[in-house]
Amino acid sequence: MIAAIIVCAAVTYSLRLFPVLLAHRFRDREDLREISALLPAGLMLILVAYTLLEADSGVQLSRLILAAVISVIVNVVSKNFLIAFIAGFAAYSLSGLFL
Amino acid sequence: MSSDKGTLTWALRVTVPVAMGYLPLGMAFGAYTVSLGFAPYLAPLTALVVFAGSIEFLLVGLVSAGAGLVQIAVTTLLVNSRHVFYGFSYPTHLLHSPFAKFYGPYALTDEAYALINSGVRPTTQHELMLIQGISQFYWVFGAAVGAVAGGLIPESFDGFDFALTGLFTLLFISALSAATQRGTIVLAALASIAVGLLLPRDLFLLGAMLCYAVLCVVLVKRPRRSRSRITKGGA
Repeated sequence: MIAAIIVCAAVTYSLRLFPVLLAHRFRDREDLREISALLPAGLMLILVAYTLLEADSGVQLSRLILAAVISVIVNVVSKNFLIAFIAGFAAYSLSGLFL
Repeated sequence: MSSDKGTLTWALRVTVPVAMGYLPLGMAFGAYTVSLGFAPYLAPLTALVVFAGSIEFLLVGLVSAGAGLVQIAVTTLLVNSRHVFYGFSYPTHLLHSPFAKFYGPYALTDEAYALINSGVRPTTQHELMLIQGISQFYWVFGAAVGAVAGGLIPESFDGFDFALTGLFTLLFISALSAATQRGTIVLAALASIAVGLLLPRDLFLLGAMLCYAVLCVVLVKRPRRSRSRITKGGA
């Protein structure tokens, strides 16, 4: 685990440090900006799929999807990340009592 | 605007939005880490050393699933690749001391980036270090509280299994609403997920993410092939 923390920290730090050092050289690269606009949302959707694949059972999978849908709906209504997260968390925990 | 700019009171006030996110999520991270069977001290340690939010959830999950260091490195590279673009609009000129030059980029999280480039706009090294340091304190403190409290939660409670799905779903929604080519993004991501599903389960995340990264490069490069040929001489 310690080795994993070090590897993860080193990669993260490099990603943050080098652009700061090289900012003047890449600031105006239009193509890099466009790629950076496309990357985050798609990677997050892939991560959602990954967490669903990790579900232990069909019941857990349906609870995860149900709670995710509820948190999205709450997020659209409340526009508040934290309230939406707590709503999904509550929906998931409560659904465990019934499913 | 405020005369107390640069004081601790000022920093605590302007970082309230960060605290609202970092404290509960940090606690969820601490409790999640303990629920996977890790020692409680590993949660605040990871929070302190890595300090990058969602990748930390993934990291403990990958380690508990027995992933290798190469997979961890590549996953970190892809998940945190977005940080590359924060450096370009970071106020590097404010950093003078060697510590600030190290710590400034180190603590350049999504939230720090948002804070620095929205309302706060620090004008000295001291102000910049203060808001980044306090933000990290929230995160590490939250993880420590969650790790301790997580041990008190009965094992039959599996609510923290939702932490990751919920976190990424909401990050997806907020990233998508900030993007312009939404249809393209969703189609490319779904295609990448389909490709990932064809691979052995262990390689799903890596395969799907690499596929998506390649698709993004192709999408950006293709329509401008004719133009880049003209400008090539200038580079």
